[in-house]
Amino acid sequence: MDFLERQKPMFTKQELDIISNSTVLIAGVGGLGTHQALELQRVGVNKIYLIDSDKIEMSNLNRQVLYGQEDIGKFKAPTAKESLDKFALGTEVTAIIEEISAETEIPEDVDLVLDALDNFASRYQLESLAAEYNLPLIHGGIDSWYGQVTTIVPDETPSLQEIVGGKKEDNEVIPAFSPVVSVIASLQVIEGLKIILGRENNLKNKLLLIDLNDYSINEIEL
Amino acid sequence: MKVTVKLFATLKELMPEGQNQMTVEVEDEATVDDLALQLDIPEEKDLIVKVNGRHGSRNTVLEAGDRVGIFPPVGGG
Repeated sequence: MDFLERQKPMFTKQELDIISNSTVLIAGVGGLGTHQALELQRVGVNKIYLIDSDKIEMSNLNRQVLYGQEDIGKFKAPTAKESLDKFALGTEVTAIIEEISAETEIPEDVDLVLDALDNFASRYQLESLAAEYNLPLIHGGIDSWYGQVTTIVPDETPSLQEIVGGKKEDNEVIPAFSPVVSVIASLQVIEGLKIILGRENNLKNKLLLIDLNDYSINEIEL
Repeated sequence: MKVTVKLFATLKELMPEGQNQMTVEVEDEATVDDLALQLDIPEEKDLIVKVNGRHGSRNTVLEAGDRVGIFPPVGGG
């Protein structure tokens, strides 16, 4: 029996082939990134690249679900790879210890980029890289009970900077809570799969704003 | 003129208690920026703006009866 048996009825044979041959780059292996990586592995993608230059800190452990106490001080990307590899589900995981910058090279087999960063300055950098490589970027962000998700595709959608406004952020510590992070990360994975499958009902030119405190969901046409 | 305003997420605390929307009197040809100022939303903050269901900005000029939603973009991860 194949571990993907229960999801097979949801997709066509061709779609299952696309998923099992897809390669996803996760930029940032913090709260959003660790949840996304777990989901993508369960979905059975071919390969995941994890990029992050940070080391694990105690305050990360409330939401960064691939790390434990004994991992404090280790680099996030290779530690996340180690946790994922233990499940042995067939997805190849490559860890890259690097900060996203204009010099970052996106490997040529990448089909999709997931934003799992924690500040807008780095996100604008990531979106220009994704545009340079002509790759779809699934943006997600969180703050306490709230989250937002949209898809950025060069020449098809407005840029993140246009959507958000592009002002300089203050450097406040953002409250973050694993169940909220998990919802937003899952939505990004669902959206990313729809984009690589070419399905409609996606978030191109739509911004989804989610409030898990009062359970309101707002969609804005962009 | 009057517009209907809803504030979301971390901006919700600027709404009168117990209300989920409010009617605000603004000058004719006021922009979202003018409205934000009137509501004490800090000028330096990025805002995601929805006017009658469509994406707007701080520069969108308002008309009487407009429904305005203001969201703070959230950037944590």
